[in-house]
Amino acid sequence: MSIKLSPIQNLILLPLTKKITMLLLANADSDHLPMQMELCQPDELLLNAYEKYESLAAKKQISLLISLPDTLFPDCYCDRERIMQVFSILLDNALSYTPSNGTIQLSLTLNKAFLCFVVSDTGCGIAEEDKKRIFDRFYRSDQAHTDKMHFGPGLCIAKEIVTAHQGKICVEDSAEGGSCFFVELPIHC
Amino acid sequence: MKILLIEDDKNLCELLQYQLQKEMHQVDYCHDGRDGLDLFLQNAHDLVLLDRMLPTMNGLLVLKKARNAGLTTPVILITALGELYDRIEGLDSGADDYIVKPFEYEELSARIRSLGRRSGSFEDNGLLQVGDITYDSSLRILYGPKCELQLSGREGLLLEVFLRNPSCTIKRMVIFSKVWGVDAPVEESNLDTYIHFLRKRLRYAGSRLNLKTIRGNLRLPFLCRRQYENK
Repeated sequence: MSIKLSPIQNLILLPLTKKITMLLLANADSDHLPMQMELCQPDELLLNAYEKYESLAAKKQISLLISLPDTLFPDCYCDRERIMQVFSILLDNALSYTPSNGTIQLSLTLNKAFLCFVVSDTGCGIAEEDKKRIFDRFYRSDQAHTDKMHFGPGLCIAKEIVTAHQGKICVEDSAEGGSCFFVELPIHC
Repeated sequence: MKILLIEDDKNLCELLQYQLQKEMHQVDYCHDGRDGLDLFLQNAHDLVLLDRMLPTMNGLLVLKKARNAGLTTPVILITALGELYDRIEGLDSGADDYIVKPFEYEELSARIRSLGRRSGSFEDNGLLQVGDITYDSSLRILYGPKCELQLSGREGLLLEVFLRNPSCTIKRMVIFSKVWGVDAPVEESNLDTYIHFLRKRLRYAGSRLNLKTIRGNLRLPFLCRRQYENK
């Protein structure tokens, strides 16, 4: 026998992580994404993301590389935890779609007044028609994919966070045929 | 702090690991004497918690072999053998402290802090000062003549290895084990990447300290403050 649940009952029954994600999106909708801003060194942020996924990538036999500039870049004014969340979303996706013996590369460049964080992989890539829509809420680019863990609001959350920082996020094809995600954040003046 | 826990009671091991990690310690563990000795000899830990009654090799033999190999890592023996003779034997074998089961975790935690104050091998206030830099290990901030810099987790661990052993030549494998842990699934070449990062950090901070490579191993030469001021 099936029972139709009310929206509140549905929310109560969701796993906790999904509840937090739903609340985050709801707050973003209401222009109230809670953030704690501070000055952060961009290379240290990216390096911490690299370190968080280093062992996992090694266990999956994926090369995780990082390239940092030789000069010290300006700080960015951001919510450290939220930006780390963005990197985690991108790295989770990259690890999901990059096969063994593939490569994920993290890098950091300066583009005028913006810091540009790049996550590129040698995975299956994203079809041209999907590139604009993958940041939409609950969009699925591969209808045949059955692993529900890697779809849903992740990239949408990332976009909300980056937008809240007056930044930009986009995806292009990487030179090796996979995907290349760009996150631009303004430097702190 | 990096702690090696050698305990064959898996439930106790899991409980201690949980409590130690809650206090922000990094914990490696194993359940028998031979594995314990192998890990101990890698010299990658700040403290060893060692059970006496272990399979394959008893704890006192592990301790004696490690001391004979020249290792001075502080050791706390954790054991149900609590008679006077057992405690004397344990301490004379090279242990720095002895705690009898069953015990309250708070007592073990206090003994760990006490050893830290005595040995000086780990700082209570988290501040390490060598030459013209100071490093706050609790916040991972490097203070140099030109500026202060936030270090990543591994950069901080790597810098700490050198600051706690100034002017000592340290083997690559020892550094790798201390920073990445024993049996880490990553390649040793990661160490070269992080040495490069650390050299850049010291340069950015305006320090005159520089990591030197000596026959493949590494050293942070240290000059005393007067030598720096006269340079």
